[in-house]
Amino acid sequence: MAPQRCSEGVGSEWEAGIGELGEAEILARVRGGETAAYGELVLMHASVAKRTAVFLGAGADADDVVQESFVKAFRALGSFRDGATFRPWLLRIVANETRNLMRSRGRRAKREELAVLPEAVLDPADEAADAERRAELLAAVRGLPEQYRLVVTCRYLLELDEQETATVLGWPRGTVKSRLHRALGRLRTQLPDREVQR
Amino acid sequence: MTSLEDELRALGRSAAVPPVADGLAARVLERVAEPPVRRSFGAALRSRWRSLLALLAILLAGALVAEPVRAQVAEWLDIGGVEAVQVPSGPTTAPGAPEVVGDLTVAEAAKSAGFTPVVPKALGTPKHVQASAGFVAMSWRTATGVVRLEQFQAEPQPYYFKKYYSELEYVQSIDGYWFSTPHELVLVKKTGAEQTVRVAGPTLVWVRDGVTYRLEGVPEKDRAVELAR
Repeated sequence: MAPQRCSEGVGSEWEAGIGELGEAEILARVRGGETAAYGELVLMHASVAKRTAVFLGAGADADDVVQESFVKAFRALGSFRDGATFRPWLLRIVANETRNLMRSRGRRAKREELAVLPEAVLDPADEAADAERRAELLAAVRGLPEQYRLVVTCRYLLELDEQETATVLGWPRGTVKSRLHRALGRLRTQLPDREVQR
Repeated sequence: MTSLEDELRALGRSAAVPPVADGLAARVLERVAEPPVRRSFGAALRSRWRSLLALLAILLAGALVAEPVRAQVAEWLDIGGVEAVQVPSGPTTAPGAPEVVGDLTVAEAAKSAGFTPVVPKALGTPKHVQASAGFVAMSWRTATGVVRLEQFQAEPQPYYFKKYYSELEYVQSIDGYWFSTPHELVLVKKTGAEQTVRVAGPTLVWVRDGVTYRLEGVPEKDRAVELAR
């Protein structure tokens, strides 16, 4: 009875609770030597890992980045703090791997950097105006200096919270806040303003 | 009227990301079942020396023998561009540090390395300097033999050094490690192929501002640490 009442009242919270519990359990099993249990963690987080890799610029190499990140995360489990959340920690590895990849692409990177963000899929139901606005927005985000692009990408495009963004980018929380503020300011000045009708 | 923030979220959701490759979990499991051959995730460790210390505690406690996973995790240690692997027994003697081949000036080396190398004041102008992209080596001749300092951007892909050591000591004042015993120095190529470079004597390794430093040829730890400051 109790669980049912819970699931009615605070559905998502309840589920999240189960998720974390399951995750901690899996981690404990992996650390206890049950390597195969790691496969469950991989399945649990693969899609957000890939999304992050793609958004941060891995492009066609995103699958390699994801695979490499999971392997590295496994090997670094010794440094993973008990009770911490696995996802931001993993995504930090993904972000680093993506950066390494981009760096190793060398001179090509400059050109490819412009293609960092995936094309927005145009929902057929969308109005043409929305599509246009999205394309503008995408171009504006692409054109931001790297730090701003990273913070906007993590915080809004990937919808990570502030703390997760800080963890993933390896910046202090205050830095995330201030850069985000400046990035949004820049986007506002570059985009034809829609928030205030002119 | 939606806010810019909401528009950005909508943009993120509308972006096409293809599904994850088939068999990802299986491939990851296959790879983690093998001993690590490539660079491990060092950045997180570097940025959190607390974790490093915890890891080191495991290393020093010799708790390697327990579960296979823990053993695998504990066997390596990343220090910038250096990966350290503990082995039961290492070489017992090492020749002195080799002299650098190359006669660049420090300024020329900075140019080809792409970063400005550090020169310890106490040692004066290096006798020889050599450089390549992301990497600078310099050496001095001193009364006790050759002193060699290598510095490279923390992740010198496609190469990194790997050391097989039997003892190391954490040096808190410079957040580095002192390899007190001779150890094998191995260069790992991007392909994963390993090439033994040589046996190195006592070495101090530390990372500062994204650059990894290896100081070799100074057999006393305190003196080495002093030079590293």
